Amino acid sequence: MRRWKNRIFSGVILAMTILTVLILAFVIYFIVKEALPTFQEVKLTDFLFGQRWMPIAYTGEVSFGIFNFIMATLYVSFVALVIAVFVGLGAAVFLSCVASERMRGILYPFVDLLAGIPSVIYGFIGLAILVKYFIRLGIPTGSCVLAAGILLAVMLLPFLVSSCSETMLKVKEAYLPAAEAMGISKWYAIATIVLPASWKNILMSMILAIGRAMGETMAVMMVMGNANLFPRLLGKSESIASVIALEMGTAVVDSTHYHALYAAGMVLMILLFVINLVIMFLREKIID
Amino acid sequence: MENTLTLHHVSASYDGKAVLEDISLEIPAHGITAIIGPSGCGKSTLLRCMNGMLREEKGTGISGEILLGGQDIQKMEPEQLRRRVGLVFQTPAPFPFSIYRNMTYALRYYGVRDKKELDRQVREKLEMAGLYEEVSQELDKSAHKLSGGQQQRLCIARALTVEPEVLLLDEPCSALDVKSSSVIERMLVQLKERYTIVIVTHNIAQARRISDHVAFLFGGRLVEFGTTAQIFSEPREEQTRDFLEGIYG
Amino acid sequence: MHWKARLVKYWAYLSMGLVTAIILFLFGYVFYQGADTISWEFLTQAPSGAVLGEEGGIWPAIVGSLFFTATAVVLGSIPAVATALYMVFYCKSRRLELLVRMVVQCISGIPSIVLGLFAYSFLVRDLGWGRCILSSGVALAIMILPFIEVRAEKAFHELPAQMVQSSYALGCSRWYTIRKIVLPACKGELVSGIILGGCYAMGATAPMIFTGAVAYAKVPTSLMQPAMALPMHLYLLLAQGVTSMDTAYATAFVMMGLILLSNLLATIYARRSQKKWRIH
Repeated sequence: MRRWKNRIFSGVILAMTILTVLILAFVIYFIVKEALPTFQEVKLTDFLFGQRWMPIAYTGEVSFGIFNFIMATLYVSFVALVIAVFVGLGAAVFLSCVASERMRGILYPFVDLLAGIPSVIYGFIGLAILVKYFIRLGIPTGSCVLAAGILLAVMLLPFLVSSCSETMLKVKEAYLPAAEAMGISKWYAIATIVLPASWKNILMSMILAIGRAMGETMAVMMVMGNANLFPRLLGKSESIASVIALEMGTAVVDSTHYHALYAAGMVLMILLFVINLVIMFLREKIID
Repeated sequence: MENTLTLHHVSASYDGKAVLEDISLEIPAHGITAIIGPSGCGKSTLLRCMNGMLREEKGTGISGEILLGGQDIQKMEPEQLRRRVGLVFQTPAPFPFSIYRNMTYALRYYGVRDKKELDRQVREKLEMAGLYEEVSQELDKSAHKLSGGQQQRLCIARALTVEPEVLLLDEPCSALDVKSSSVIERMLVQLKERYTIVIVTHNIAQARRISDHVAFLFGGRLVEFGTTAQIFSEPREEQTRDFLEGIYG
Repeated sequence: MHWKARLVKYWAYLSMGLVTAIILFLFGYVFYQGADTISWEFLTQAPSGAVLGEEGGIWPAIVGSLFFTATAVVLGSIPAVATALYMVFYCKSRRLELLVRMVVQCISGIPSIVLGLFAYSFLVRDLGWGRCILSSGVALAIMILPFIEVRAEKAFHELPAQMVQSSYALGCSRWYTIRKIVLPACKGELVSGIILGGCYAMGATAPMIFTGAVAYAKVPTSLMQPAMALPMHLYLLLAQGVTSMDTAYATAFVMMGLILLSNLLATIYARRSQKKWRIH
């Protein structure tokens, strides 16, 4: 009886783990299955490097080129990362090196609140404040890559802050007492020891953060203007995720348009797999 | 001799790296056998082989034969084996429950439900560990509230609840102060009447005080095995002598 | 003070100040703007008005969101916790461990919109479930699976190894050990991880846009119906423009309130159970 219970439980655990693995396989299979028919109509190079996205032939020929979308996705994620790293790293230094144990206990969950805010609310506040502000600055509709970048940066903050400060806390505890014992001022030690010694882990957090930014849909879609243009900081543009979210509802099932949207999703997914696998192997290396 | 552990050519590895090489050893019944050696020599690994714990860990390989009363332990169900061979770890690891539930944890697993029987067992085993007097009034108190030495004695008493024939102890005193250690040492000497005890220790003086036999391990190999008197007065191997004189630390 | 030292010091204080200001502003802004429109009627009535949602309330969206979230939590947390248990207590091969870890990392990398595409192709179309709570729920469940798995695995790893091994050493099976020791000891982290995962699912829009969330539906009675959801409703209100701004703010208010509450609950729960188990 005892033995049977144990066996059944082990079986359930194993089955659930296999299910987790199968989920990934299923997702990949269905995305690829729906994406492949695209390439019977469109050449892969035209798809990846073409700049014209004309899914329905109102005027002229249909055309499926997602180059601008790819660039917009990368560009807006990069902008977000630059801003987020600037603020997030500073806050991480504060949390790891200034805040007391008790203060950390309060500030960590406080910063984590940012992670709990749904992206649609970020988009909403972006529309209500950032976009209005950019209109006053003279940008036609106020929607632009920079606005999306700022929003995304705020969304990345909790992740960057917690992962960087965790690293820095460990480094600080390992080296700071020795440095202070030699009479070196705390802040000088932070600038010259703690920050440089943490850079590997900070870099990894940055790569992961850019991955998260690339997959984000709603907030970006709501403030970036959604026009198929090559991204400029103060111009409109459209990310891969936005195209899918906006056009999936109108695309006729099994049309080339429909398949092309899956193909765009596949490209995004592959980009993110690469990022996540790179991170995993970097992490294994660093731990070893 | 019954109830004895016999090892034939036992080797073990972690992630392909050999930790134990070709160890053959007979543990005499109803006595205390101490396994000594410098840190990293494979003492703990050897102990973990003896009740099949090593098999459960990630990346481990094990070969050779270990007999418990003539029976190959590889062929025994882990449950059966561990009822007969108990193991106590270096750092006291009481479960996060009350003292009473710590003591009845395994009994309940083996289907003992009768309250009177449970009470009797708890009392008997706690008395064996010399802990009953100290805690009899607070059996429902969390085990984590006990001192380190008391926690370790609780763990030993807990290991005894399944009535093992052999009790393995992995440096049971290394996390404790001198006074708690000597309490545990006295208790072990009393317990050897009923159980076969194998203790890993880095404390040579402790081995000398309580053990009847000593096995000296070095670099994953068994260098020498003999009675305590022989090992300490006239070791046969040079490595043993060097170690006892404190050369390897 | 050396210039480098001074620079880093100002930078740290300034950044933390900025982060604090952003958080206070975000919550303050939404609560301030939304407070006027919030009323008992708003919470308990269905949306109405010439442009839907301009007037009336959000009751069906609240219930719908709870349906979506509950489905995702149930479907997501079971394999997540099981996988974490497997990784820590069952898997004996390092290669297998690496494989499963890689899979979880990859799932966490799938963008939520792509999960929507997957659910549409597989569940809505191929399995013929149509647009319904269950279809979206599966997509959301996959989204929160790695989130919960990582937290659960961390909690299991932090248990003192010798405590678990002591149980094995007594001959107790894995099942008994997990049920009597591991799960009770990690309850706090598990429950808080699952609550936070639920928050994450409740706020997500992308996976449900074309798989189960709709502009208007009655309060759902089964998982095979489409339903309204708070984030989707908010998005649609915004798309309608100026006239629904008030109800949009109020909807955001409700969402932020729910999330703040659950976060608080999760944190308190985790801390309280930690106190019970961890202090020596």
